[in-house]
Amino acid sequence: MRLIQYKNPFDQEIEQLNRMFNWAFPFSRATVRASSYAPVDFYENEEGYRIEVDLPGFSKEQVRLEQQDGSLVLKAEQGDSEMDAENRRNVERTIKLPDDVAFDKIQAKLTNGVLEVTLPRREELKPARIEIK
Amino acid sequence: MSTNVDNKVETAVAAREEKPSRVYRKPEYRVNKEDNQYAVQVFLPGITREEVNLDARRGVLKLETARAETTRTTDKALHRERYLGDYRLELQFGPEIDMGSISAQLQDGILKIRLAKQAELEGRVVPVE
Repeated sequence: MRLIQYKNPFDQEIEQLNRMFNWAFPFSRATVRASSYAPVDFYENEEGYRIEVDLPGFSKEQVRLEQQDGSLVLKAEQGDSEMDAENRRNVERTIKLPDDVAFDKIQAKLTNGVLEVTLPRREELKPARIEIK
Repeated sequence: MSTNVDNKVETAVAAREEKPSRVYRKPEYRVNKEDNQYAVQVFLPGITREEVNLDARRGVLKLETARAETTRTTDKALHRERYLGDYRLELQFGPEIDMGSISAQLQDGILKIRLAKQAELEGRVVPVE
């Protein structure tokens, strides 16, 4: 018999609520396992967009990024390396991307436990100044 | 009398402005007990080696981070979840820790601290001459 794992779509929201609660009541006993949650920042600049994800303890080889139907799917899994079983972490997040991202030019790097994804805008959609003659 | 109070208030206000109270957060951490040592893991994503200050004395391990100003971005944030402030953690260990043997290593956003137990904690029989 196999157990079917049901992934609750609200898990992430609950986790976020927990974090808010912890922030509001820092001395409460409720603790959030940040380990199963990878917080994401999304920035916009002139060149395009930038995503930053906290992934402490993950090596480059353990992180997988895929682009699916206009979304960025991040999967990070720790094998049975130096971490023991109870500390092993799996992270999965899907981030909806804006339409103007040049999907073929996405770049990512992992430094100090933070994944930085650079998403340039498509050239033809970059804001351009029109010269007046 | 009133000027005296005023002065005191002014100095207090000045001191406060000089040293803005910083907000710290306690990082996520784990302590594992091994045979003859403790292994501490502190989660510090985005923190570099230079930004960590680790201090061990009298059985207390103090950790404080100070993020460099340059890490702050000027890009427009559309969505934010990450904590970009500083961390502070204080861990108290018993007298069995050999404070001189503590070693720490920062890798992939995790600070790994090793605290060895003192060899002579067991005590010994002192011969009387």
